[in-house]
Amino acid sequence: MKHTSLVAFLAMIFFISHQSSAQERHTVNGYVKDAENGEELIGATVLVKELGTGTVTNVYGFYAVSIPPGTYTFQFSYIGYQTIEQTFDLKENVEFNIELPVEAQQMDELIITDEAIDANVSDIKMSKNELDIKQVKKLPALFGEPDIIKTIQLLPGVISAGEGTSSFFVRGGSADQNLILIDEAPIYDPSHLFGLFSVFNADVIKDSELYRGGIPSRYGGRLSSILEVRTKDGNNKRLGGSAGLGLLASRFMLEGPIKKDKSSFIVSGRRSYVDVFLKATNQDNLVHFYDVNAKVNWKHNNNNRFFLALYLGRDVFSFEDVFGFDWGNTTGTFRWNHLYNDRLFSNTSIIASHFDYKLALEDDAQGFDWKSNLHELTLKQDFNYFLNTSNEFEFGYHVTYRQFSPGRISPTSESSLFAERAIDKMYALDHAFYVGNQQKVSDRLTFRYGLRLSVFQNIGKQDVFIYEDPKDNIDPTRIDTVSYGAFENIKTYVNLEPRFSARYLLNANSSVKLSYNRMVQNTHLISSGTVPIPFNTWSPSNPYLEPQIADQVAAGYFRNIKDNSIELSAEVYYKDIQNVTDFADNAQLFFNEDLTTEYRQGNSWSYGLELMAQKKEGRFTGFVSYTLSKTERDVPGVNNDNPFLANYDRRHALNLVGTYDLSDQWQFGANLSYSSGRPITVPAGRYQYDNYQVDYITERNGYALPDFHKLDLSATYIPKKNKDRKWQSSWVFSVYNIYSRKNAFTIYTRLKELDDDVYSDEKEAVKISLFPILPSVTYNIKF
Amino acid sequence: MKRLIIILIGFVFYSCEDEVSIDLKEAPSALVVDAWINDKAEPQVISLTATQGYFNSEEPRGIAGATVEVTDSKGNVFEFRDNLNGKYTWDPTNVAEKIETVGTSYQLRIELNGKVYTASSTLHRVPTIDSLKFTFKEEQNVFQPEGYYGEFVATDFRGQGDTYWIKAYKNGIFLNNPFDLNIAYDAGFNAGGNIDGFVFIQPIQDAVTPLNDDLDAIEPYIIGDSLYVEIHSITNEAFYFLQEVQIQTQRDGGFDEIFAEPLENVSTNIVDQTPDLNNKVIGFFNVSSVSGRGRKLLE
Repeated sequence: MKHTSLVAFLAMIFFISHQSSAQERHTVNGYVKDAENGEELIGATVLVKELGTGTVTNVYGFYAVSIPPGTYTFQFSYIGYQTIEQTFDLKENVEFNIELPVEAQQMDELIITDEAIDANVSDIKMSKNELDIKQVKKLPALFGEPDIIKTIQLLPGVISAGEGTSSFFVRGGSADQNLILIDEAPIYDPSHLFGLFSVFNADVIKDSELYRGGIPSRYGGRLSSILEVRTKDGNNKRLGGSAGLGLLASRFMLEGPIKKDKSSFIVSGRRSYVDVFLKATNQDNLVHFYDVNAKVNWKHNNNNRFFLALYLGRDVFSFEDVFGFDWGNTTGTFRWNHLYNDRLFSNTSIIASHFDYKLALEDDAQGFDWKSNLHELTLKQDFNYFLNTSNEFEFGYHVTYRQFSPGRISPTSESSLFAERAIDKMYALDHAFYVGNQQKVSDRLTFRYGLRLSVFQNIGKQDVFIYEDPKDNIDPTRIDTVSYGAFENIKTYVNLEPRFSARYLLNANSSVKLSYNRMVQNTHLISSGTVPIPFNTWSPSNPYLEPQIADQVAAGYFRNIKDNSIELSAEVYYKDIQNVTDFADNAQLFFNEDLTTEYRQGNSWSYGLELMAQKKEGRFTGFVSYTLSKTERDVPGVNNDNPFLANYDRRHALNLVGTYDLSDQWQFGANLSYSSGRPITVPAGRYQYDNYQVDYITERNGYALPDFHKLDLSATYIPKKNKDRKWQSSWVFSVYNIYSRKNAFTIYTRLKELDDDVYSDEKEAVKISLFPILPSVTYNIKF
Repeated sequence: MKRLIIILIGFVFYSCEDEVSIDLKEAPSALVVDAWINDKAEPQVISLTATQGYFNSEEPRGIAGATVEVTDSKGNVFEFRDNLNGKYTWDPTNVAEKIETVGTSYQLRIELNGKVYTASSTLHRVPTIDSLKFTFKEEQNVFQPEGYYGEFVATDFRGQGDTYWIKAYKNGIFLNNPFDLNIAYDAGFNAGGNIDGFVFIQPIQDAVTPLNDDLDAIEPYIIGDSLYVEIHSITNEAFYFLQEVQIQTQRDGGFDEIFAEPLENVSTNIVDQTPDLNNKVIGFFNVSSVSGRGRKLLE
């Protein structure tokens, strides 16, 4: 079955390429950029007016259109920018780079043209959202720190586990099923301060998009979503920058040309400074985090462009000089864009990502230092082939080498009782070959189809234990140990991932779309909590842990009204996951050499309806999103083999997000969120056992927390500046949870405290809520 | 070590707590078997109770009318007689059969309302306690204030897989706070430690000094206090059972609950011969050898 589909696919490719050679064609290609700072525009529309067809720029801002000789008017457009037209008398291939100026009067109502932006309807992509960072900055934020992940949590199909967390749950997938990329490099833990903020500094973000379905074949490795965050390239025209002073953290960013129009740099930093105040009050408990982003961008010529991007972030906690812990991500991306010929665009990337955490205890007898880390190195070779106006090919090869070090303990003093000890490292090689094509079948019908072949190898060096009963986690008995040498194959998993999307235009302003995708995940998060913590470790697929496989179908109706100024969408989806990784009851996931005996894999299924209305231009912008969904799991050996609701299941989620530009001085933002409570496990009874009060539990996740709702408001004030001044300041005032609702973060049970330290035998339930009303102010300057 | 992280996370975050009332689904009550017996020359008790509603604060209801019997591999039968409130007792004084030979296996058999429940355990060896010590220590940090710290010294047997429960009594009162629950796998915390045949590691020897009522610092001994320490040999299964009890009872809520693993039942080694979803059985059967030693803190 799998083979026949592959053959059919190859035959189709052959047919298309054969067909295309029949006619003489010339290519117009180039980059679409922002006139102000030289940043490439991703997803800008290039329309050939005479043909009524065109293309959009790829993720590097590049476009290519291949058409028969003739005279054509090209129209270049992008939201928030002026539309520019250019006429070509096409007799040969043309290289044309264009810079679009920002729309002169942002405040004016949208100027409506015949070819207004209608991507919502006409684009083949579904189940995908782009975040406008300018809007994110105007929205109310916790402690005044704009955060794209907090905005992502408001999108349709996305669920949050609670306020103050940086994880999100897409269409019934757990938090570790999201592939979070910064300049193509994966971030393993996107949290600062355990999730209060995410690692993404809003000042350097150029563009971010979230795919929750219809995922193109060039992406893989995680089951549920792709969050691709791209940082700015740096202004290649003039030196500029920004800085911000918030309640918890401050930021700065500097960007500018190294050589005008050729090369540029951007560097930015962010640091929290609560610890500075604590130090001033003679407190020895220090907590801080920081981020550094840096990028150098060099456009050698139109055919060769390079960039090097780095990210470094860390959280550091220290208590009374006794305990301390820290964690952080470091990533680096080197990228080379090359144009082999007019139609063949190549991207070569070398990507490194590193995550580690450390725990340390200073003590003569019990002092220890605990380290755990994960490294990966990826080589990506991607090609875009702009065959003709009807077909855009992509294909490529990715290979990733990963090393997982689950933990190493070393003594911090000579008298420490801890001996140097480490859990075996694990290694993996992950190959992926992919092909995909976007084919315009008719004016109304477009397909995108592709295949990704994932070849995953768990490799040595490792000692693999053989157990009498591999599922006996209570008293694991090893009967043999098999030793594998470096790079020796331990286990290989081969999976074929078909991807398919279709768009059918019903009329100029409405369409229906359909998609199916299979995704495979070979890196598994070792955590049974709802929200991952930075002290979790990851494991590759191995002889005891099979790849997780998700199949998803989605269908949607898309419609633009009021001359494309309001975008409406309705989608339904069904997702089924095989081998979803879970863990045995009472699993011991921390520093366990027999961890493999704790693995339990089962099925998960989820379905839902997602509605969205969005207004992107004008004084008032914003969106309303509603999600109705249900997610269940059935894992043998868990919950007495009965199905149970996923930890992050929420039946309803409704979000209203809006910003209003009153004048050049005042802008307002609001966010109203409602969602039904997520399920938790509560005891059904209790018993006394040799003086210990023990809970009796009959059902996992059988109790739903109360509904969650809150309203946040913000106002941005931009003082008038005199013309001589080179910098512009702004104030952002934010009020989080304005009616101070005590939303339940969770509910737990304990013995009732009668008096100070006097406990009765009676139990009580206690609701934990995190944030009451929280006003904040941030001061920003831009130069 | 997970405790440490959880305490710290709780430390970092402000959170607000309110008592709420929640409606719990009524669960059919289950039979609870508390059968930890030992070789001490005192009456041995096996108690049978029923689980109770979660917010029910009454004393657990004892279950009468059962036949409770332990047989050993040598053919001895120990009859536990119904002694009110679900407590079934067997008195080793003035009887010929004893719990004494290491390596003997024991079978528990309970007959109740026509149903039969069984469990088995083996008597394992226990090391003697060589000494008890009190050491005066200066304040080390806020968690370890100045005062006398108790400590026992004993050596684990050579050979992997010995498991123990160390029980401490301060002034005759068993330290039964979940945070004082002290168990050992060989001389260390767990099987992976591979600390075999040595003196118990320091944190296990030190754990006989309890935490204060607030559970945020150690409470040292004062002059005049007495300390009595017992080591009970337990089966490996019992060790894992107690580890689960420890994990479950040491939950203290707070912000870390969102990171916590789902609540789960602790395991049981009681087998229902005719399993029945509405009449579940939970609990544990273990037979221990016990060694003990006491000391009073004098000036």
